[in-house]
This record gives sequence, C-alpha cells and structure tokens, in this order.
Amino acid sequence: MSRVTKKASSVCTDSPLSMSEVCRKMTLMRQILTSCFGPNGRLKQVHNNVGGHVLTTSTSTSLLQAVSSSEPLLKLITASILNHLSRFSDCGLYTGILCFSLIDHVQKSGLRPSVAIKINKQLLEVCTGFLNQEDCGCKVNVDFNSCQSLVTLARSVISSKPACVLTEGEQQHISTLAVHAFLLTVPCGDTPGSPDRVRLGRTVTVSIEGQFVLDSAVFPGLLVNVPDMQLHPTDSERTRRGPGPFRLALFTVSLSGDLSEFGEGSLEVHSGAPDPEHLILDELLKLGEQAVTDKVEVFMCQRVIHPVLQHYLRRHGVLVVERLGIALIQPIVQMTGAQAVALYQTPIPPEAYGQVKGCCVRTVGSREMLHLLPPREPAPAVCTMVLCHRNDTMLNKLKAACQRAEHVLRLTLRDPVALLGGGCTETHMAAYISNKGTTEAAKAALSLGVSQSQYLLGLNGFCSSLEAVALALVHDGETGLVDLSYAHHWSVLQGEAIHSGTVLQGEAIHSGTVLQGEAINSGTVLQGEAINSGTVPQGEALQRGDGDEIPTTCGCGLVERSARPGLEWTPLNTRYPSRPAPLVVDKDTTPQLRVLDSFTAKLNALQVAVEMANLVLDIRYVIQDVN
Amino acid sequence: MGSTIISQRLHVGLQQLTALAAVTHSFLGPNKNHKFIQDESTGESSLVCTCFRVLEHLDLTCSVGQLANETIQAHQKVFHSGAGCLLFMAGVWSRAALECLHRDISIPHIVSAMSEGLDICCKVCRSNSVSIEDVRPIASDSGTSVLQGSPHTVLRNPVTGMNPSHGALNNKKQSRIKLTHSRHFCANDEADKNTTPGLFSHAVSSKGVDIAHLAEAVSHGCVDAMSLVVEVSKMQSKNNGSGDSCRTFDVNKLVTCTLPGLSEDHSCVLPGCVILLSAEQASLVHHMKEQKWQVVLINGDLSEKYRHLGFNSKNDISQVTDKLDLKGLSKEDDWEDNVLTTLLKNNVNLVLVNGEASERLTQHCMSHRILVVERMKPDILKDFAETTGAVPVTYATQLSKHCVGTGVEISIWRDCSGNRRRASMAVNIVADRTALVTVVLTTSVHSKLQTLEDCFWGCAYRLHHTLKDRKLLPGAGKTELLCVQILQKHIKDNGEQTRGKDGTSAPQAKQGRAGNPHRADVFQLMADGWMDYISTLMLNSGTCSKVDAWTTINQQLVDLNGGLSLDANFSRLLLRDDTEDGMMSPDMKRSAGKVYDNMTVKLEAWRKALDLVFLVLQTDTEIITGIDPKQVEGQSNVMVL
Repeated sequence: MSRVTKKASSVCTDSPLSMSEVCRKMTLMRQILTSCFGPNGRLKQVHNNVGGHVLTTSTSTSLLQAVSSSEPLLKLITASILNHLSRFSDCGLYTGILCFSLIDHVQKSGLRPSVAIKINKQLLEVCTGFLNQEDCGCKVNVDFNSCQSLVTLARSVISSKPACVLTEGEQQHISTLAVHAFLLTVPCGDTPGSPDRVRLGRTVTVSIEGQFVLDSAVFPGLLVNVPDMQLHPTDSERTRRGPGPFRLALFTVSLSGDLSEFGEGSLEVHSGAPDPEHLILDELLKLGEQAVTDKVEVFMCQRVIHPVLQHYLRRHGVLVVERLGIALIQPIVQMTGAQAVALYQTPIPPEAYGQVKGCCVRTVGSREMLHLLPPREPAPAVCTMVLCHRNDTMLNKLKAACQRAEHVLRLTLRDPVALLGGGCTETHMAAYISNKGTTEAAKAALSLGVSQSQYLLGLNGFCSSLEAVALALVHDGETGLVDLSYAHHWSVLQGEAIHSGTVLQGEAIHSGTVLQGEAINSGTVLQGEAINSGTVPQGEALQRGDGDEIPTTCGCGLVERSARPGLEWTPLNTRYPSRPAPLVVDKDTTPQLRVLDSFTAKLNALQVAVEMANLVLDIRYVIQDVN
Repeated sequence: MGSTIISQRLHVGLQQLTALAAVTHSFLGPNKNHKFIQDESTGESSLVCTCFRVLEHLDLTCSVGQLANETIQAHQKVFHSGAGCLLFMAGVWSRAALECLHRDISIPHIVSAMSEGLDICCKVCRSNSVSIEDVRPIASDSGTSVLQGSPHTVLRNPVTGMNPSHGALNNKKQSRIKLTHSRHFCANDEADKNTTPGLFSHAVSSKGVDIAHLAEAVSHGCVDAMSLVVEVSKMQSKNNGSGDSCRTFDVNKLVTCTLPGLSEDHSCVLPGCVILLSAEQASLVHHMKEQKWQVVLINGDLSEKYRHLGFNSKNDISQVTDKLDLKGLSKEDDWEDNVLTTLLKNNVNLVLVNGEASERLTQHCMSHRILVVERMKPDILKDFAETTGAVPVTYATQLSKHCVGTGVEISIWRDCSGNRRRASMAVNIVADRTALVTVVLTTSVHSKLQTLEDCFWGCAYRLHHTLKDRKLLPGAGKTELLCVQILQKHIKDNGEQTRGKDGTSAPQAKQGRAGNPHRADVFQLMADGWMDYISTLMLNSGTCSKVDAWTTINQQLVDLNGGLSLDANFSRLLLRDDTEDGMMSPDMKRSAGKVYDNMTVKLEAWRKALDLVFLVLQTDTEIITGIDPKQVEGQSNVMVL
C-alpha cells in the first residue's frame, strides 16, 4: 500500500501568542465567555452546519463541550476548564475569563513571559493565603443550623443560568428544593460498618416537560417510571396493600428469554429435541418460582422480563417492574441494600434480596410513577427530585443547574465556608493584593529577582484581571463600580452614575479596542479594559455617588448604602495612587446575603486559571501534524 | 473543525419570531380561515387551521423556529388548547421587546419589567376569574353579568396592595357585587392547590353546575364539536348512574373514530368503541347480536413469529433432522392449533389484538365463531381490561381461565362500504359498566378529518380544563382588555409615584436596582401586544378593520376609566358573524356576550410566550459548529473560532 498523497511535514509555529490570528481567536473566546457570565449573561444558540438540534445555553459546560476551536492553545484552555468543571461543577466561566484576562494583560504590559509567570505565581500564593485566612473579608461561614446560607448558595448557582428562564419565585422554589434534596442525601448517623466515614446518598432527577415549575418537588425514595402499569390491575392492588417492608429482587441481566447471550454463531437443533426458547423460559419460570417461595414482593429488572414470567409473578401477587434502565440500578442498590443479580441460571442468593418500606403509585405531571420508599431511616438516603418546566430546552438547563447546585452544596460539607458573590470577592481581593503588593513591592521584587517596576506592572495586570471578572458580571447598559472603603462591587446603570469626565466607548466587542489611560507610576502603562461596557474615565476617577443611581446594596448584599454613609465609588479598572487596604465588613450585624459562591470551586478555579495562563504564556512553539 | 460565530446584533431572532407568529394570525377567534400548506418538492399538501398543525408541517430550519415549535408542542401535549394564543402573544411581545431595544432599554430591564407586567396581570386575572357556578345558563340572560363592576375592584387591589377582600368590602360602590367577588378574591390559594400534580387525574365531576351551559360558554365557535362533547358528557353521566343530566366528564375515557365518506351530520356519540370490520367478519357479528360474550386481550401481534419487545431473535437456528417429516406440519400449524384450542377451551368469542393478527388464524377463528379484531388502540384495551376483568397477555398460548373477561356486547352500527372502497362495517363493541365513549367524526371531505378531530379535542379539553379549574376567565378579549387597563393604570400610577418621591420604595427592587426607569415604556408596549390580540380578534370576526378596532378598544378603555362597566355590546361586536351567511342562530348571537376562556391554559400560554421571547431576547450569538473555516471567509457577520 502506498500513500495517495505525500505526507506533509508538521507545521511549527514560533511564539504563538505573537500571532494576530491566535490573539483574535483568544479575544473572541474571551468575549463569548464574558458575555455568558452572570445572571444577566447572554445566551448562545449552538447548532451544527447541517441544521441539527439547537442548543441554547450560557453555561460553560455545555458551551465548551459544543464549541470546538482549531487553535491548539484554545483547546488546551478549554480542556483544563472542562476538567475543572468535572471536579467542581462551578466557576467554569470564571476560570476562562480570568485566564484569558491574565494572558492578555501580560501581553499588553510588555513583560517578558518568564518574569510575568514568576510574578503571577507569587500573587497566586498571596491570593490563596488570603482566602485561607480565618478573618478573610470575603469569606462567610456556612451555618448548617439554618438553611439560609445553603439556599443562597443554591440560588446563586441557579440564578446564574438565565437559560432556565425562572421567575424569582420559581428560583426560590427550585433553590429550596435543591437544598431539601441535598439534606435528604446526607445520612443521619454513621454508616454501618465504617463509623468514621460518611457515605452520601444520591439524588435521582426526573424531568417532566410542559408542567408548572412550581409543581417540581422532592420525594424521599425513588420514583420509577412504569408506563403500562395500569394495564395490570394486580399491580395497583399490590401497591395499595398494607405497610411493608417488602422484599425486593433486582436483576441486571435481561430476562427476556432470548438467546442473545450465547453470542455469535449458528445453532443446530435436533428435531424432537426441545425448543431452546422453551428451555430458557423454563429456567426463567424456575427463577420466578423461587422468588415466589422466597416471598419476594417486588421484582425488578434493568432490562426486559419475559411476559410469561411477568404474568406468573403477577398472578402470585408480585409487583413486577421491567426496563428500569442502567441509571436507576445503583440508586436502587444503595437504597434497598439489594445486590443486582446478573445471572438467572442459578438460584438467587438470599443475601441478594433488598428491602423497601412500601410502594405506591404517584401521579407526577402527566406520568404515573411507582414510588419506592426507603426501608429504614438512618440509611444512605436516596431521594428523587421531580423537575418540571415549560419546555424541553429550559428543562434541560434546569436539570443541569440543579445538579450543579447539588455538587456545590456537597462541597460545603468538606469546607463549610462560602465566598461573597456578585463580584465582591474579586474586587475585594484585588484591592487587598494591590495594597499588599504595593507596600511590599521592594521585598517581593527582590525575592523573585525582578525589578520593582516590573513587579508593579505584573501586580497591576493581575489586579486588573481579577476586576475584569467582576466587570464581566455587568452587561450592556450597566457599569461596574467599586467602593473605596470595603472594595465591594456595585453595578449601576450606565450614563447615570457617571456624570462627567467620562468617555463612553461604543461596543468594543468586535474590535477588541484597548484604550490606554494615564500612567501613574513611572514606567507603567495602564490599560483600561474595554470588554463590555467600555467605560474609561479620564482624569480624576473618584466621585461621590449621589443618591438614586447607586443601588441600595453591593453585588453580594453585604454592604448597604443606607447603613454606611460616606461611601465613595470609582469605576472598576481605573487606577489611583496608593489604595488603602479594604476594610472587612463586620459580619455580625449584616443583612441577608444575596449571592454566595462556592469556596472550594472558586479557589480551585483561581488556581487553574493562573496556572493555565502561565502555561500558555510559557509556550514557545506549537507543532501541529497537519496530515 | 472550527466553530463559526455569528453575532446577532440586529436581534434577528425576535424578528423571526414575529414573522412566524404572523402566519397564524388568521386562526384567532371563532371564525378560522383554513390554510393550505404545500410541499413543492413532493407535491403534497395539507389543510390546516390550528397553530400547532401549521408548525408541525413547516420545515423549521432556523433555531428560533425550532424553539417555538418545541414550546408549542409541549404546550399542546399537556393542555391540548391555547397554542394559538401562545404563538400570537410570543409574536407581539417579541415585537414589543424589539421596540424596547430600539428605545435603548437594556435587556435586564426589559426582562424584569415584562415579567413583572405579566405577574401583575396574572394576579388580577386570577382574582377576576369567574367561578363555574356563576356561569349562568344563557336563557336566563344578561341581568346577572358577572363582569359588572369588576374593573373597579381590579384596579384597586394591585395598586394599593391592600388586602383585596377588605378593600372590596369597604368600598361603598361595590356593595352590590361583594358576594360574588369575595369568593374570587380568596380564590388565589385554591387555584394554586388545583395545579398540583394531578393534572391528568381522572373524571372531573361538576358539583352543582350544568356542563351543557359551561360547554356553550367555552365552545369558541365550534358549536357542532361542542355539542358532541356535551353528548359525551351525557352518556358518561348515564353510565355513572347520574341519570340524564350532564354531571360528569372524563376526557380520558374518550376516543375518536374518524369515518370519511359520510356527511358531517352523521357524526355521533356511541358507548364503548367503534371499529371497522370487513364484510366477512361483520357477517359473524350478525350472529353475535344481543348477547354477552367473553373476551381476551392480546398485547402485541397475534402471530407465531411475534416475540415481545426486547427479545432478540436469533436467526441462525436450524433444525436438523434425520428422518423425513411426512405429516408436513409446520411450526405455524402447531401454533395455530394450540391457540385455537386454548381459545375454544376458554369459551372465548372475541379476541382484541393490539398489533396485527395472522390472517390464517383469523380465518380459522371465524369458522369457529370467534371474532379477532386487530389494531386496537392501547387506551381501548386498557378500558376493556378494567371493565371486563380480562388480563392482557402477550402470547395467546399463555391464556388461561383467569385471563378471560366477560360481559361484552357487539352490534353492527352502520354499513360504511362506500362505492369503490373496500366493503367495511362499523361495529360497536361495548363492555358492561364501561365509561368509555367513542365519538364518530364523519365528513365527506377527506382532508377536513384532521381539522375536525383537532377541533373536537380542543373542545373536549376546554371543557375538561373548565371543570378542573372550576374557574373561567371572561372571553372574547375581555380578559386581555382588563390586562391592558391594569397596565395603563400602573403606568399612570408609576408616573405619579416617581414625580412624588424617589423610586427606592418600589416593591420590585430586583438585584438591588431601585425601581426600573423604563417600566412604563415596557408596560405600554406589552399592553399594545394585548391590544393587538383584541383587534386581531375583531378583525377576524369580520366586524371592523384593525384601525376601527383600536379606536373601539381605546374608547372602551376611556369609558372603563370613567367608571363604566364593560359594555356587553363590545363583546358582541367581537363575535358578530357575517349574519348574511346565516351561520349564527339567534341563540348564538345572544350568547356572544357569554364567552369564556380557560384560566390555567391562558395564563400558562402567556407565561410560555414570554419565556420564549426572553430566551430569544437574551441570545446574542449564534454558534455554528463543524464548519470549514475556508467556507466562510469573507463573510462580514461571521467570525471563525
């Protein structure tokens, strides 16, 4: 065999980041991620070029999985974000925006990548150190004595997915359900056998299209789809019969009675010999007999059960459920303590039987489902979350959002803390490291082996990148402000809070305009970010918010305007000399927090973003096999 | 493979939605115009007159079309009515959203104001719903108009935030109507409770109301179809032991059977089910008249080859034999004998098969006076299982004594063998105590069958929802007019409020945003959407042009604000038919003021319409995957990732 075409040699790209095409693609990607960010984020419609199913989304997981790029650097970043999401389910867009911002700022600052990498690493340590401090200003403890902070955490996840199209009441309902489901899956007491380990239960989601969102509900136990249940009057009798516990048998092997498990090849049957189908059916009926003598009352199978066997079992008062699907097997095993049997030729071992406390038929929306109740109370609890929504697109998004929320809630079990949301953590942290970095610049520069001005330049880029994330929360028509005392994030309507000395750039998305502002420290060039609102104030940035335009609270709800008179604001991403360290808000007398983010997820996202940015900055050559 | 990004700066999506909705404008109101949809490539065409059928037949390649279709079909699947209203409102509100964008209102503001507007209106509509007990028989005429005075109460309750029932009682003007309305005000919670899961729970009985009158109120111009629905209710009530009156209606115990060829007057309602049989089989039925028979039910096909779902047949099984089979008996013969013996042993006279039945066996059975009927609907089998006590089985060989059901009557209903068509007889099979009712829909125009069926089911479900909600909304555009009025009232109050003090006390400080500066603008545009709905209704009724309609509506609004109650003439105007055609009986004309809509369906349709608009409005980018970057080079609105 000879090759039809000559093998092309690999293509090597030198310093990929200096290529305008690569930069353009990275800017585009950053714009996509930025515009998706937050509760007011924009949706994207993704479909293929032959007119397939349309995916409407703003979540990082769906978006990054669907959108592919030809650029290796982008692929690298996408893959690392998806990897982060698979572990933490949250902060995917955050990771992306921060990572692209960091790369962008380093490129614009003119710092050598090696220097920038060193500085970024050091600042990341400062950040993680800051976030891990006990008295960190952007951290709150999650109080398990009340569900309030849990509900807030869940709502922050759910409300940041505009594709779910929920009203505020619906958001609250779903968030409460998410917390309810989460609490049901936390076992009370120790897991039998291993006292020092806690085994969490699981939530199974059932989604129903076309119903009211407020009909969504959480049930302890499992809901099993039994479509043709009403055809068998005996089943309804069984479900109505007195209290359990009932013995349950669970099969994963197909009991359809076919010969498929004998594999390929032809079969020769001697005439007069019994029909193989009948032989198998006899085996199955023997199994049924055993189940009946062992007083099994619920007989379930992942796949198909031969109708004759079903008939036999039903006649003996056994509740038969077939075609459970693989997804339900694990939850059933966990809930009932049954062992899934994968063989029908041998008798069922007695230890394979599980138990349910009872079962009843439940009408959920348009479906009738069999409700299996968990056998005993302090068990690895399994619960079912029924989600209803008006159409399929929104329902899928809602389902994903609830699963995110559950994951985020679970993360709080390991680390019972949360971070302030609404961009406040980023602005606060930026102010903190900006202050700390400036005051300790000389020392830090010395230890890193860079010049002080280089260090300040790197520090500046890092802080701007953090603020860029907060700024990504405000979309067109709004502008992001930061107050000078607590360094929390405030969003206001554009053109109302900033009265004078403001240059409004039009939409800068396409051109990716970068405006250069005034240099403050010698040798420092400051870039005003023009990601979305493109607001760059000239001259003195400080101004006093006067009354109406500034909202009553900051992004996370911790700082109230009325309670703290004399606050001063400045637009985000403007520089002013010597910023004081931000004050920590005393959390004892504070109002209800509106937005909370997962601590664990965000901390990891921060690390992934900085490390990815450093990695990409470090890439000198890209070698592509073009065959 | 790269991805291509198209930025939708111009909000093409909203325009597409408006355009799509415009297709169905002529379906609004009682006088529907049919549409022909023709497929150029295949030459096929179909006649449609409902919104969801249009979408079903359109090749919706654009992403917005797909979204709209998905929403409509989901709504149709659950409610079986209101899809037209949904798409219409989606269309007009997407135009409103577009207009908002042109006025530089930011998207979060549009979204929050529009959902607030809808919330306000839904609340008011709920509290102004009419209990079904209050829907009086039309004969007793207008004196008790349920709508009288309601606008007063409406306007006060949301604006002042006062406890509505107190507000109503303290208001001197309304002392006359307080009794009717006090119930409506506290109806909110009850309505919520009603929406909990059991949407499909079974028969809805109408305690103390006459279904016939309700049916007329929600017939929406489909008088013939609705009279069939009333017939169904009568028959079900009779089976229920409620005598001759209409007391109960169970939409789940209802099937339709369409018979082309007969004229439309032949449509009728029969107990049990109706099936078409060949003349041969029908001759057997002649002998089976006026007796109770035994029945068995088969899930799947009645044939030797059939295996249950999930059974993977192995094809390569070969029989090896060492002697010649002289008897020539095949496996199939064995099976047939086996089945026939089982049937005879159990005294079975009727075999109802879900799938297909083997022709030979059917013949054999017939010679033994056993009737085999194939292709029975699962719903019907289910009903037979419940009423006769038969246990459905998959294989006929499985049958035993306890699987056999009893008490089935068979009779010939009508000879349907038209000329040039296969001889066929319509046979009626009824089980004892069954609630199942069949509606036979007939028409001489074959292509109208689908439309007739849709129309009938629309009526059936409207009645079903009426009885389930136990509440109705005033129809013929009155509810929409109310919404317009509410929004206008809010706009006015909003203006006064903002002039008085700063907006910080606005109740909906979403995300800490104090008030919404563009609330009034958005409300006005939203209200215009409803105005459009009413005027289209009037236009379709053939009474006036759209401009005249707007004038009339505006006049109505002025009158209403001046304290007058809704004019009955107004709604009569809406429904006045082209009387020259003699389409409307005098009775119908009188009933014109008595049109009602389903509450849950309508409010949910509005909600879904707005959701759809929001989804499209919030989308800024279309991403196409799997495109070769070279293909799109040079296109200005496209970027390659």
